[in-house]
Amino acid sequence: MKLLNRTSRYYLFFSLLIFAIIGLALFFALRYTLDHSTDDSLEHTRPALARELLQLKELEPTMYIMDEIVEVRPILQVSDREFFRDTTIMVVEDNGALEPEPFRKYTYEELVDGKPYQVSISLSTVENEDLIRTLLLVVLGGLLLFLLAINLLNRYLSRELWRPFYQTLAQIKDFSIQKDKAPSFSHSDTTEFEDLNRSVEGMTGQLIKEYNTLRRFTENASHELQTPLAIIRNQIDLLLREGERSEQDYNIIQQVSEAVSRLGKLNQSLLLLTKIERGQVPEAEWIDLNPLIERKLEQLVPGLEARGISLHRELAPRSVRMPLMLADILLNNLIGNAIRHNVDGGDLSIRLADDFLVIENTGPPLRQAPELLFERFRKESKSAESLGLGLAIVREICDKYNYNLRYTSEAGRHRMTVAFG
Amino acid sequence: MKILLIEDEPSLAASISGYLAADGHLVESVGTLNDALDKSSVYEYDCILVDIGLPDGSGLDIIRQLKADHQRAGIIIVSAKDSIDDRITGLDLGADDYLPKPFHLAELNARIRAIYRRKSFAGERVIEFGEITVNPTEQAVTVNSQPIKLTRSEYSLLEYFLANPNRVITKESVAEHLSGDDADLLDKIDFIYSHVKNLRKKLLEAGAGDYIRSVYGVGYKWAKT
Repeated sequence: MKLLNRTSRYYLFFSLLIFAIIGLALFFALRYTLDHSTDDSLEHTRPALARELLQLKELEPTMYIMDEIVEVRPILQVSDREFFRDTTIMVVEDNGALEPEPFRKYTYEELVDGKPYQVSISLSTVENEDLIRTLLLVVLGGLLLFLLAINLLNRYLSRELWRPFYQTLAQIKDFSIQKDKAPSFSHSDTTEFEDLNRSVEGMTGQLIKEYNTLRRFTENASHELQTPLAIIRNQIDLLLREGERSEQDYNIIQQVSEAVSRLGKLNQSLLLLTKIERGQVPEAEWIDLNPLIERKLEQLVPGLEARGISLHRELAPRSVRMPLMLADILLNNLIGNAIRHNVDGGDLSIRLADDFLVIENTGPPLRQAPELLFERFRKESKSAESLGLGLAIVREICDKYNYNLRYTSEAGRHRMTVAFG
Repeated sequence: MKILLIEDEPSLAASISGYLAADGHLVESVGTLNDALDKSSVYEYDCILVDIGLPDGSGLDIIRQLKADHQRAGIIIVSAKDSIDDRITGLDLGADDYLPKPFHLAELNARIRAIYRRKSFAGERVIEFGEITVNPTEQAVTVNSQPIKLTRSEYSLLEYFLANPNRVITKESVAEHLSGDDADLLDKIDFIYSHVKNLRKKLLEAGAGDYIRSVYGVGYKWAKT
């Protein structure tokens, strides 16, 4: 919910509450005052009515005297009892219909011409009710106007006062650490927004600095590692050149050679990751995936046959726009993975369609959470062949080209889907 | 073949020149850009190996100089700086090949030979080893003048062996050679093994000698027994 809607809601709630209280207070106060003045006028009528009644020859139970309805009832004895109450009386309207109308009724006991009577005077209060209704309408109308005004004011505030905030927000949303550009905010006259802008600026600047340091570190470390690696590797080659050696020697050399090769690949992968992150990749070109996959599979067939893995392929023509190097790596890593984590006698299926590439393979169930699969150095197998960077690189490439990379698994089959955007 | 090696890392320079010298090449090694410019302006080389990051400048400068002098030498960039820019600039300037560090000496040897073959107008355009003849331009292989059909990987493997006869080539080196710069696909030893096995079988069937020998766990050796 937007902040402004939220404040509006509070405004609405509180103004409703206050108006309800004001309305109720008004209603009761008016009621009280009006009843009081009606009662007063009724009491004032009493002596005049007494004189009026004396002049009558005969008392009817209900009489209409001076806009008032007077009822008299003979009683045995007169007491001081008197009271006021509200009542409703059916009145003949101008159009001849009977309508209920509110009345205030004053009842007391009195001697008329020496005989005890209970006398009731009823005075119509329909005008009072009208007055109250009108006043309440005015108040409610005021409330409505007030709410409307608040709403308009809010809109104005949102447009004007909050504008720098929304600008800042848009810039933050647009911020990407890989773009290497700190957002720059325009000056705001509001202290809070100015504070916010300066803080965000400081934070992003720091973030970019830290990120660059880290990236440079990885990059430099990888670069610096290359020369020693090259030296070790070359020395191994030299060792192997010099005449025949014992089997034990060869075993040692083999292990060193394997370890160095692994280090080299690790290094290469890290460099590649930083390069993709920095966008230091060759220019994109249109690449037909179909022949590229075919070529890779051709290389792999003998090995697949050796492991008894059957290969299914269903390749429709599809080209993508990216550097050949990245397309190569993407396929290498996905297919390589599907083979590495396969089982002897299993199968591997590759499907390329217009909007997706699916690589599916048999294999033992995943031992880790699927969402960790694309993290760096998350290895599924402890084997020396796996670096734990392959899928991280795949994800990096897919992110770069807005492809949706998904892993699913069912019934001992693992499926990687690359959905082209 | 006369080779100029421009590499500022002494132990790397020593191992490279040692390896190449053992192959019968004449190798001169320098560690700075200035020495390299001096040498290359005086002598003619068949092949020049250039490291880009030198203490007194960029190896790219020497490529410019060589091209300006119309030197015929083949140029291979051997560099730790495997940034795409360097690679593209280097090749644009006229370098013939680019080999990122760390590389296998056998791979370097194969690349030098390939460049030498391409450059030498009078020289051998085909590689011969006993009854086996390989024509790199057409990627065609014959055994006793009978053509045999090899897959791309098998052909690449054969060429690699022929460039490095009589020495042990590690499995890692073979794997990297087969999968190019972006290894990882063919890192399984099984896969190399299958390719080697198939190549050996095809050669034997065609009547060639059995030249491929597995050397314990380390790798392979191509040699006449």
